[in-house]
Amino acid sequence: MRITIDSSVLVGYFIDQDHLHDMAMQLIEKVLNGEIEYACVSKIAIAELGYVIERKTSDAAFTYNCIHSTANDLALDVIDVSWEFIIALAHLKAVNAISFCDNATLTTAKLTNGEALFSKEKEIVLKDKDKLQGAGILFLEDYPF
Amino acid sequence: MEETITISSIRIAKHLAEKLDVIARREGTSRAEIIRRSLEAFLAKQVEPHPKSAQEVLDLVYRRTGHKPTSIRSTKEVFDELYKEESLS
Repeated sequence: MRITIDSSVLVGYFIDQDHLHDMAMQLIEKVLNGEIEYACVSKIAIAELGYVIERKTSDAAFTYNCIHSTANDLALDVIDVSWEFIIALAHLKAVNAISFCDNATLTTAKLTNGEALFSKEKEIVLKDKDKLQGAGILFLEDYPF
Repeated sequence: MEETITISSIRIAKHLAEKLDVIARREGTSRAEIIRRSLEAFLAKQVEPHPKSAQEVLDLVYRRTGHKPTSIRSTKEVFDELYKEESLS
């Protein structure tokens, strides 16, 4: 399985009071143990993770450390915003009526030949998955997939 | 507020000080903040063993922060707010 992890999944992991925490913990455990073939996150999703955690906790120091650990401790491939990424993201935002950050997660999944993993707290759950372009979509709430 | 101290005995080469100044201006932050982040990243690799489990990573984040955070709003509330800001709902 090749997955791109969206910020909505990582928020559940870092906040232990979150209702998705246990599922997110199991997923991250598998990533760290090498049980998932490939797992990545985009730098845009990391930025979104930061802003959501700061608004959820009003804790800038904790937010900084979540960002730092996502990039350095979670064994995730961190995908940069290359020209290829920008061009693909621009196209997906033009055709998918979902947020810029959600399109960035789809773009990352597309460029890494994987599927995008969101939580159902995102508005993408309301869209017809088959009509969204870019990559296949999974939801953490359906874990194990 | 975390306790801070001033270290006045640190001397660094001029070219490094100039680089620090350029990076701080580019990042829109202070030189002290750049040094703090660099030191934190360096010490994380040098002092702490690399975490091996999801719980160890989480414990490391709490330890670096100095406390466990309290969630004051639901994630859905934050995302719904974002969608309103982006006029998506």
